[in-house]
Amino acid sequence: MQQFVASTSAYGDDAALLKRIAAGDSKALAWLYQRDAPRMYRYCFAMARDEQLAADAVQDTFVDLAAQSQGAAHAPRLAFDPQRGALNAYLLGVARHHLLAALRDAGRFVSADAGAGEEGEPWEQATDAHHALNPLVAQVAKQSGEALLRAVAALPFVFREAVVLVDLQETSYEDAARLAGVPLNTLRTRLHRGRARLARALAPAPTAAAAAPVVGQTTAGNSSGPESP
Amino acid sequence: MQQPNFSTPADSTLTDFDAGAQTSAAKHGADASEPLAHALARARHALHATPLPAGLQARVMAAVAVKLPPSLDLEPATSPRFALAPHGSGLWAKLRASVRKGAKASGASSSTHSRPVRHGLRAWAASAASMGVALGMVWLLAPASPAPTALSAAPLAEFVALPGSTWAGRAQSAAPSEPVWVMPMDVPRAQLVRYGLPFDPADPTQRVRAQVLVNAQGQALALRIDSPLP
Repeated sequence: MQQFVASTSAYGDDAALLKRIAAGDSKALAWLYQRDAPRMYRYCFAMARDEQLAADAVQDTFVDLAAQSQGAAHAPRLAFDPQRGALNAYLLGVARHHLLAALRDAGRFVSADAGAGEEGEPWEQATDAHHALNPLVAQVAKQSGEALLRAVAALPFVFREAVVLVDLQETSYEDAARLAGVPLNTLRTRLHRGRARLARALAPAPTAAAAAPVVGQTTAGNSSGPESP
Repeated sequence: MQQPNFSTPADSTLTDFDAGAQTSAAKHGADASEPLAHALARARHALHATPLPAGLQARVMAAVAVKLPPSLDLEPATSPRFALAPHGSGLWAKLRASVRKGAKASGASSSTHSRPVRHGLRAWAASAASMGVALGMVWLLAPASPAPTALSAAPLAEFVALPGSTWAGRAQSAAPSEPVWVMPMDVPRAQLVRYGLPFDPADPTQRVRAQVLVNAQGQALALRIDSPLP
């Protein structure tokens, strides 16, 4: 389980690190990038399934940080407050903000209120036709984890975020709830429902099972998942 | 709450997470041979193995470098003559040569390629001093009433080595010894003075389209202005 904690390094704590970056220390910036960018990028990538959007969110996050650090040098308007949390959590929150904006701009944001809590929604239709037509490709994707990542990406945003943070990035419930800006119980509910939808997505489609009885798998599910065995 | 061990998902014990996931999977008719917990573990592996795009660090560091002002505050010249140094008069070459000379004097263009562009007060002080000399030279040599459209008629087509970078010397060789990226950026006109380029002090906040050459470490090596200068 990963926790967002203020780290210490050769640059000292987070505040000292920011001061070095604000002074133009490229090595400090590179150190921060190598520490936090992978987690930020993979969060954004898992949420958007789009390399460009994820990379843009990471870049915008660091640019924001640089601009704010400069603001702090001349005026006390630094948004990051070490008293309120760790820098890596703050950066992930900023990246989330940029990613949300980009998804909205692209018309790809599915809000939590858009019928996300009900069964039988259009998200199930986000199956990969290529996988459905090619069982071998589907099996490879399944074994590599790629199939589930695709299913995660098809979840409504709030469920997707809970699954990505807790199940895929092993963030603690408390940190995930804080990042999502919801109470802990809400986060738990979203996670439970997200997992339920994923479980449904893993279930083989009844029609596919009937067409291929040699597989011999039970088809208790009543929905069509993204893959056909 | 415990979660399946990331490194050994196949051997992880059935924690409450697994039990919950499997119960959920069974409830919703999931494939019994594919418990959700195992699928999530594989997905976790896949996500963790997802590489960051090549050049992303260079992108980020170059973008941040543009945002960070130099340690020494270079006030832009107020004389309009400064901004209107005509192209083709040789002033550009003198300016760039002076900047390069200043960068060498600061030790930034030594054979060690690891010195970043933004490597602290000392290098910036030397670079800024050399730029100050160069800018003063431009101010002195510029004609009293040059044509304002001189630069816009001749947009720069070459990269200008940034103060402190080692790119200028290596660019003279047949091929660069390290991979570089060209990053399109919008640069505030006021920051052009950092790079030894003229700018219009009447509108310092306007941004110009530029290409920045960066190396794998994210060091900005050179800059090329794409949009025509006024």
